[in-house]
Amino acid sequence: MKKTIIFLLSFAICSTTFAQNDKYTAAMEKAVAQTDTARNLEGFKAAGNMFERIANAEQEQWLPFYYHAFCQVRQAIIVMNDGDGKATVPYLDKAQESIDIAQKLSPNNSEIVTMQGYIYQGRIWENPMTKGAKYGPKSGGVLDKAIELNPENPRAYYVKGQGIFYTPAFFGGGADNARPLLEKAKELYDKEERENALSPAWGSYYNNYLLEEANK
Amino acid sequence: MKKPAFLFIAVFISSFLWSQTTVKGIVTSQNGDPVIGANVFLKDTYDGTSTEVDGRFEFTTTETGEAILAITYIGFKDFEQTIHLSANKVEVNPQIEEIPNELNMVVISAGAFEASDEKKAVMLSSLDIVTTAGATADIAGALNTLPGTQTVGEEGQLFVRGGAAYETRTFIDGLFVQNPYSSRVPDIPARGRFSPFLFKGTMFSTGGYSAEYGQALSSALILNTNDLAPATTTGVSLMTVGLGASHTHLWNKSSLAVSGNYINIAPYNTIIPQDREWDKPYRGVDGQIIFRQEVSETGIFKLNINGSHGSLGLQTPGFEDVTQTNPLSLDNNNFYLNSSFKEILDDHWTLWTGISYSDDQENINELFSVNTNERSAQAKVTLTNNVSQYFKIKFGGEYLRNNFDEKFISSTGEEFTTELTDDYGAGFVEADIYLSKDFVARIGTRAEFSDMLEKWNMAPRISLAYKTGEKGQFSLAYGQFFQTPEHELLRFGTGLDYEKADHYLLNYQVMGEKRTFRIEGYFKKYNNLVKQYDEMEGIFTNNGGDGHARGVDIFYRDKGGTLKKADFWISYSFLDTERDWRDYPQAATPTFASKHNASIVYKQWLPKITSSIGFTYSYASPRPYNDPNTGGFNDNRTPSYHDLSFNVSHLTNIGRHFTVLYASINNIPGFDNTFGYRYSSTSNPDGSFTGIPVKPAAKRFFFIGCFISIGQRFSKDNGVTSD
Repeated sequence: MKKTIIFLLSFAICSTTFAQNDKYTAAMEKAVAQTDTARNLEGFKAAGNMFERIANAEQEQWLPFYYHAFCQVRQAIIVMNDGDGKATVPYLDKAQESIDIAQKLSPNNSEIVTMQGYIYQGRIWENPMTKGAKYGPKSGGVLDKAIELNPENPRAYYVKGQGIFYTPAFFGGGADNARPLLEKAKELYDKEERENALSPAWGSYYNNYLLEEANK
Repeated sequence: MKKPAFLFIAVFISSFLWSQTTVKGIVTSQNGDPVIGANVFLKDTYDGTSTEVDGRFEFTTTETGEAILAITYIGFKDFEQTIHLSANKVEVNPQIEEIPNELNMVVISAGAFEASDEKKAVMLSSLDIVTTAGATADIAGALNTLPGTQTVGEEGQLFVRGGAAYETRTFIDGLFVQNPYSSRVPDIPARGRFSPFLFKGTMFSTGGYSAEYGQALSSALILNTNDLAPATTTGVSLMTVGLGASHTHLWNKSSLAVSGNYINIAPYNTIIPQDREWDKPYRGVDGQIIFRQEVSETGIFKLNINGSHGSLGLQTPGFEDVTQTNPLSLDNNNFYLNSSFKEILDDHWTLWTGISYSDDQENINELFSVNTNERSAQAKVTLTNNVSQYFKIKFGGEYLRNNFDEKFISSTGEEFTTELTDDYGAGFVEADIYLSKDFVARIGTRAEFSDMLEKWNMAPRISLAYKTGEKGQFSLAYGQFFQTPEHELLRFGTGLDYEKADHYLLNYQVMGEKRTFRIEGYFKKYNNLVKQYDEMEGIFTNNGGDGHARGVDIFYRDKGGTLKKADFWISYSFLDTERDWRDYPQAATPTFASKHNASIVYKQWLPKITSSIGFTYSYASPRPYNDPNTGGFNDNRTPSYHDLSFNVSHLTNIGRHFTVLYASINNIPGFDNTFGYRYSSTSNPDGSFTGIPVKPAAKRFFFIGCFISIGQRFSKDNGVTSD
């Protein structure tokens, strides 16, 4: 009987640690699914909140911080599309805080560096006339580093291509310069296999959209 | 024994599984509105949720005992509260606080038209200035399309709210500019000496400005120069009135720009007939050196040097008999150096220091001759302490030495010399006090001492601003402003005091992303204006004059809000002013003041042909002038003033080099404008005085320019790229 109790106890202890891991995976899977289906400000806000809660409980994992930053950038895009460039600032500030932590937890990670490039790109939306000259090259430089860290990362090419696509022709952007990057991204997206349900896989939908626009 | 133990464990486990606590409540902001989408969770756990549309939240947790409830929301301070998870249900209704920031905090707006690339209140950028039709790329010309200014076509300087030209002072990087305009001869408008492209920000204050600035009764034009140059470039410009070249080099942390222009309007005058007779059309050379060094992450050193030489000769109406003309010639040399250093010392303190030096020599010959040399040297220091987000204090001091030497030789050979030296010192302190993010008070004072006048003054200033909504706000301002009398008044004797103005302003503005509307009412009281009496024994002066100005300024700007790729603004100013000053026999509206001024500026970008076009229409109601043949004083009125100007710029390549082609025409319809009348000082045999109208030198002004950027290319798709 004693053995049984010890067995039960040890099982209970193990199961709590397993449960902790399962809890992380389950919560992350739910939050990633929420992100994948989010279409509006509320959706990305709810997903971002989920990642923030996970990050708050799991401070050694880079993915919750990374996805939290991503949800903030998506919200910034939505408010920018609504015509309020200034409103992007607090979202991007929050994204920057999270990506700073992610960088510390996982240095030289191409996905995280890509997200940093995406945030810099977002800084332009506040006021393209005045911020473009500073953050355009800054974003480009960071994305080049992301490509260097992992030349197979489609998101690095897509984000870079997107930046160039939306840069006014006047400042060296435009469809022609963006196309090769978007094509490269498409090629990589097509053969990309997700390591697991949590690994970053976003971007192919908008990449295809931009490529179509660029080929018009 | 065995069974109870097992049972005990089973009960323990199930109680562990089932002891859930529900945490619920409503999250509101400090003004009571529900907060939607806020993240509510227990710290260091997975438990939490987002608030619903009514601010409600509800989640369950298996945690027990003390826990920290955390709330985060974009634009709000992080919230934490300890709760006890003892009961089945815990209800908390937290209130979270908005973070004050540049976006939601109230700003002082009375009197000021801010135009900067960085600030929220972008009214006119340098690009806006050069693309404003009718302004001929002149800063004062563009600011003349804003309300509060009066069109005075023959002067080319800024006249603000019934004030004379000298009542507006120009500051570059906080430092005094002795000669902001090119020297001028009667009836030929001056131009600003500084290109709009030198500046990243312009603050044009039409009243009630900061205690940091003094010696301006009506208005302060505060120009802030660019930081490090953005790129290495070489430029060439070819214009109908001259040539220019520039080279800018950018290093890692420093940049140097050298440029020069040669201006000669003789070829233009041979093609376009002039109503004035030019003996020697204007000819000038100028050069600039601009150096920047970033001394640290946050510190920058700036040096700007400008030098110019200009000369001209033309026939001007005689003083005694306006029907006769006399040759008048002018030579001018001007040198201006301005250097500053700014560093953020720590989280709270910012230090700024600057020096400037000006030397201006002018030689005018008609039947008389005047040789003038004016020099100024200035040093200034300011310290800013951002004590908190709600309290900021700025203080500083400045010293200015001014020498003015003039030799006047009359047509009969009499010689008069004037030598004036002034040592001027001033100190100021000013605090921005936020009582909330919606209410701010700026309280400051300035003390000045002039060694020449041997007088002190103390000028209090106060501004209040209250935000009524997301975009609207009211501002209120009061201030006292002092100015040392002009040199030509000081030469007749000592004992003069500062001229003084009191400003009262009330302003309301609504500022959206694409539309701005503002309306401002003001009252300005002048005291101690210098009066000048021509007596048999000579000319006497005292501070016996006074006056007032009151009015309403209205401004609306729409930047792509209504019409696609179009930017337009409409200004209207109403002015009622009278003053008794100088040699006026009684209080009267001065000749530079018109009751109604209005401008409409329209700009359209045409992407298909990579061009931009612009129109400006300006109107000024009749201006007073004094006809000595009639009884009253200044009670005659000129016809009203109209102008419709057009400009176009086209972006292309010449050879392999990016080029902007620019053309403008002022006064397309050829309105026949009269600025005033000039009368002979001696009467005809019948006792009448002969007068002639004062008119522009030519009805229309045409300008064509071509600005080439070597080593850069332009294409419709890729824009401007460097090789």
